[in-house]
Amino acid sequence: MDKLITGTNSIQEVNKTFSGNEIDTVTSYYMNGTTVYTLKHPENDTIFIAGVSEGDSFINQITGRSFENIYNLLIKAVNNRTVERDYFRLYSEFISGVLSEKDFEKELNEHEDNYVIQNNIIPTKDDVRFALNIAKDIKDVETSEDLSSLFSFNSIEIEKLLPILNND
Amino acid sequence: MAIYINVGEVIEGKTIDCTAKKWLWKGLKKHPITQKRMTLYVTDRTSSASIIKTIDEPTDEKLKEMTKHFHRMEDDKLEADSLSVYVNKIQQITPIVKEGISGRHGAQIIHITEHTIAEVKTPLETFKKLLGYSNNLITE
Repeated sequence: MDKLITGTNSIQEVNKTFSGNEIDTVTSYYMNGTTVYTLKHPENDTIFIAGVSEGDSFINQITGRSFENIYNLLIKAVNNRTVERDYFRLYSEFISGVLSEKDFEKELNEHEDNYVIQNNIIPTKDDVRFALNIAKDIKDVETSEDLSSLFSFNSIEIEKLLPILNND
Repeated sequence: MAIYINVGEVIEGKTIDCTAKKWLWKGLKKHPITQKRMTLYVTDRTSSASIIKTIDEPTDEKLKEMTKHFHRMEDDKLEADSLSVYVNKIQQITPIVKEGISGRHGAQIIHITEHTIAEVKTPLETFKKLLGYSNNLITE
């Protein structure tokens, strides 16, 4: 079984070997909300799986839904950082006089999505928990506004969820 | 006039004065309620924002309803560790550093003469704890 990685430090893998028995190797995987034990048959490639999952956590991981969420969030983050970079680039052209105020505003008005961070996605508690987990490894995420800017999550909705997550 | 300190409290004004230890420019962002394109700044530690010149309530009924919790009276003030300040001005606002305003270190004074919406945010330390960065984390 391959490692399922859903975030830094979210997995602890413990190997227990029972030599001399019919059981070859029992491996315990601790993932977000899931504890899974695998048992490999000593004479073929069959692996037996048993474990406990919080909600759909395990199902989401083995079906790839968790990876899809991570992929979508990371793509959103890269694109939003690009929006920030492009705005700062445009602003520096304006400040240095390369662009007139009229041209600067025209460019902003005509291609607003290229320069302005959206703030409109209403996140669920799981979305914010997931985003916080990813944000640990992303530079310069220091405030709830940074988290909002990275994933376009509505910053007021984040504020409502943070105390709940803090008490979990 | 009232002082608001709780997360989520919002003031809106035509002219607003802020003080903060740190004043950080974050670029252009849509305001989460009005969806108006504004320049976002965030403050860090010992921050305040108060209304100097008031602004009228929006005429649009839907927006009026959505912003009914905004405080718009003269001298209404936010005091918090962390504020989000959305300003309707493209040009970056540079703060004035003044010594002796808050404790030993200088505070930044920001006088904003454009439409501004400021909100109390989750303190940085709480946010860092959620990210797993805080020194106050309880470890087993």
